[in-house]
This record gives sequence, structure tokens and C-alpha cells, in this order.
Amino acid sequence: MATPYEPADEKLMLSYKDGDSAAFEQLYLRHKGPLYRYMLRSCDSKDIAEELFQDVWASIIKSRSSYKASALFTTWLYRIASNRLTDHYRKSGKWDQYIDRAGEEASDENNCAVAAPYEQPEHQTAINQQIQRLLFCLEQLPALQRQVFLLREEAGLKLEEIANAIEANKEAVKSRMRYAINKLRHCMGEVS
Amino acid sequence: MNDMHDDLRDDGISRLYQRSRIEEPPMGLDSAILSQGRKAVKKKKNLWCRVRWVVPLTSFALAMLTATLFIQMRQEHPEIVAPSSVVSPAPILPPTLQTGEGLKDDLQRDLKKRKATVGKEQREMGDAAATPAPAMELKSAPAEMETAPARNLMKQKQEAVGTSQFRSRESLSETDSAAPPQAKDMKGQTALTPDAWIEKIRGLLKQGKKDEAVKELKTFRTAYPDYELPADLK
Repeated sequence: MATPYEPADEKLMLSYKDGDSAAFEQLYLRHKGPLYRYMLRSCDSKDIAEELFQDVWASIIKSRSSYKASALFTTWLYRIASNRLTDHYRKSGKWDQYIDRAGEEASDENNCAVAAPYEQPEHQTAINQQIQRLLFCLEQLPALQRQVFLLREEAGLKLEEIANAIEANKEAVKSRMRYAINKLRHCMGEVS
Repeated sequence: MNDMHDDLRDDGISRLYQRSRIEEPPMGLDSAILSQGRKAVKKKKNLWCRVRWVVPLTSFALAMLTATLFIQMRQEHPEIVAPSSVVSPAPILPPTLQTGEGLKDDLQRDLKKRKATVGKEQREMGDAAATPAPAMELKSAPAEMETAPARNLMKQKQEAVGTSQFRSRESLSETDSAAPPQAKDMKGQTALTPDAWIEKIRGLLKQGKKDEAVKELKTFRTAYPDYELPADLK
């Protein structure tokens, strides 16, 4: 996120559109971490996450001329990322699995029950253990619930912005978020 | 995050998650993406540098071509590029008449011939022409003044005038086209320049044809109202 002394993402993107490569560098440094972790936690493997991460930036570079500052840059960036993830799931034949896992009707117990047993490292501090637990539980979430949680925590988007980024309605986003939080609470308690 | 209700948010989980945010893309990936971003802009800049010269260069070339064509047209067909207010409407020509270069050559030949005729006439008139006599004296001039060569010259002139009636606007020489439109329409005087015409009137006076000379002078004045007459003809 830009501080009051730093140019806004939208301004940087417009500068890049006009040929300022330094603006792109600034944008990349600002968003690379959150986007990378978003892809990493949405994918099955690190290699695929890195490939998709690179694809997203390539799309940003390619479509810079069509960029309009009317929408938030972050929303635009994560919309491209979400679409890329969806494409990946479709192409790899895991789309049905992706959708099924996202079923909001599924009970919390069912989702957490299928989780692999958590292996606790011997010399981890308490906090590190908790973090590992959380990441493990996050991994067990249905993809669409995990997606809204990550968009809030990594990209700092509000409910409406998340709805814009994933092209869903706000109520659906709210519902997914509620389920995600409940499942994480439940999973964390269960694991601990 | 004020729009998050309690059931939509868990501060403990959020805090914990924020501490987990340590993974970053590998450096190789960073440099690959950044260089891709720089290359895309550089490529566009290079393209723009090339394209930037195309528009002015094309415009300049086009302007040069237009100017060259215009000059060429003016040299080859001055009547086409001349302002329409100066050029009189072209007479309808018989289909058998010559056009183009052949006719132009003919016209130039005619003009040379006419000039030569006038010069010859002046020479033949000798001293008498050099010291112009008053009009009254000319009236009573002897008939011998009208010599045979002079008659021949007049005949030639009339023939020349006769042929010029059928000349098209295109075939007129530059000298002719510069004359006012009225001059071209005056009974066969089309091809005469003011000076030649004056000489002709003088010739008539010298031949004792005063009435004819006066008539010619009137026609001349109609054709060239702004032309200042020489003292001997005033």
C-alpha cells in the first residue's frame, strides 16, 4: 500500500503506461510479496504458483495500454490473478474439484475432518507453531473461501473491492468470508 | 476494515496471519519480470522514435511533390493554373484544329514572323517614319507612298490575323495571354501586341488611310483603355 508520501498505484501505472519503467519497478516492489503469497497459497505447488505469478505480471505489462485509472490498481491486479487461477484450474482439469471444495453448504466439520494430520516440529517457538497451524488450516479451506480471506489479508481489500476483483456479488463474498473465519477458528482449536 | 462484522473477522487470526507473511518471490523471478517490464517500454520507445520521423518526413515529401507538380504544370500549361478571373472562356474550336505542342510552335512562328514584318515595315518606311508628319499632312500624302512591298506586308498581316481567329486559348503565347480579354475578341486583332498595333496604325497613317487609322485607333483604345498613346497619335 502507498504511504501518503508515495505516489498512488494508479498514478504509477499511468506513468508506466506512458513509458516510465521506474514506475513499474516501484509497483512491482510494492505488490510482489502479497501477490506471490496469494498465488502460493492458492496453488498446489510452488512451481505452479511462480509460473502463474509471472503470467500475472506479464499480463499487466501487456495490457498496460488499456489500463484506466477509474478502478483501483489492486482490484485490477487481483482480478487478473484470480482469472489466471481459474484458468489454471480449468486447464488442469481440477475445476470441478475447485468448485466442489468451495461449497458453502458443506459443514465445517467435514472440511476439517479431511485434513491431513498436523506434524508439529520439535524446536519451534509457540508463535511459529501457531503460524504453521494457521497456514495448515488455511490450506484446508475451500478455494473460494480461502481466496476471499487471502484477498483481505494479503491485498488489504474491503468486501466490495474483493467482490469487484473476483467478479462476484458482495453477499456471496460476505458469506464466503464468514465460512472461512468460522472454519479457521474451528481448525485452529481442533489442531491445538 | 470497518465494514467487517465480528463474524467476518477474527483479529487473532488476522494478527497471526500477518506474522506469517514472509515468503517472497525468488530473486531470479524478480529480475526476469522487471527486465520484461523494462523491455516492453523500451521497445515501444524505440518504435516511437522511428515512427516520430515518419509523419514530418512524409508531410515534407508530399509538400515537395505538390510544389514540383505545380511548377511543372505552370510551365507546361500556364492557362490551367492561371486565376480564372483573368482567363477568358475558351472559344469553341473546330475539331480539325491543332492543339498542344504543334499549335504552340505555329504560334511562336507567327509571332516571330509578325515581329519581322513590323521591323521590315519600319525599315522600309525609312526616314519618313522616323520623323512623323502631322496627320493633316499625311492625309494629302501621295499615293506612291503605298508601295508594293508594303501592300504585301499588309496582306500577310491580315492573313495572320485571319488565322488567329481560330486559335484556341491553349495555343496562345504568353505574350498574347497577358493581354486583356477584350483585346482578344476585337475583330481579328487578337494576336497583336499594343506596340505592334500602334505601329500598324502609324503605317496606315503613313499610307494616307486616315479613316482606317482612326477606326483602328478607336478599336485599340477599346481594347487597351489604359495604354498611354504616343504623342503622334494623341
